Amino acid sequence: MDDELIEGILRKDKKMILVFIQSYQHRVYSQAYRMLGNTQDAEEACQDAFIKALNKIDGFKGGSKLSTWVYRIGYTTCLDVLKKRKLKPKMLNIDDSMLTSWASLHDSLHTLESKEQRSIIDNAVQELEETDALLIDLYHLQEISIAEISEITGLNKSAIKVRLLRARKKLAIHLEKRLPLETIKKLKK
Amino acid sequence: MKKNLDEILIKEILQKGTEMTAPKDLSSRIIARWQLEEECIPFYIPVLPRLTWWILAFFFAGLFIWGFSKMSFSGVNTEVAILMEQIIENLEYSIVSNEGVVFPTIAVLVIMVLINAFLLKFRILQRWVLG
Repeated sequence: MDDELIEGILRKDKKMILVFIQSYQHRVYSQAYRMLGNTQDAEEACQDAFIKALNKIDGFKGGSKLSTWVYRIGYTTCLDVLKKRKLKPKMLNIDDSMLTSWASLHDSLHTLESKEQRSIIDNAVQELEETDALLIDLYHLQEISIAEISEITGLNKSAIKVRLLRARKKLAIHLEKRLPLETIKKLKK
Repeated sequence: MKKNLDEILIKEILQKGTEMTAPKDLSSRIIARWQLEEECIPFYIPVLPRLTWWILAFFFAGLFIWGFSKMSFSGVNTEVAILMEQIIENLEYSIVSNEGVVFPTIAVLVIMVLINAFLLKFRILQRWVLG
């Protein structure tokens, strides 16, 4: 399938280019949104990433899957946007003793209405540092292996595991902070 | 075992968040933008900026040689200094003494910069139009 797509793009076959974009656009967009935090920048980065991919397809050596190559381009494009923004990293102290279990968080969220749940989860993920949000998305939601994440981000596997561990803790803290007071009281009981 | 359960719970929680899907028309917009870049300005991206840099490089090299030729080597009585003077004299004759080279170079440079600026503007416009 990858070979067919590449040949099609090299031939500038519009149908194949459309298939190529449609195959990966949701994940590249989701990745960009996680890193950049708003739809406008995510769309722009997504467009830039695909234009780069289409222009550089002849340089794809097949050392990895085509999807991994495309996601890597998406990731580096987002990093470029973040560099231009020059934002300070979001700092959060993690106190292990304060952490609530995922089971309690899951149950507490379950008691809320779906709209409220969505808002709490979205905001909590947005509070994470860009790369942490991306790692959580790729590993926990998209279920991509650590090895593939390593190829996409260029981080080594052990660094990814450590960052994931910290990102999970931060996510738990951000979720807990956003839960309504009564729910928290129930959690602590 | 505990880790697996946590992972399942995290996934369930994240799934309750907003699902990130690309806008429906994103693929067509990407193709339109790519085609426009392919058809309208294939010359712009690889060639023009490089050409401008080359002209800039030649211009400054000429300026450097001209400046260098104005320096005096009379105090340095070595064979190297004599050789340098000879080289500079030759270069001066072939490049700098001929004023007909300097002004067209500046003119071409200005035109290139203007064309680049225009095309850059065009790229920005194209992004605005196509979104």
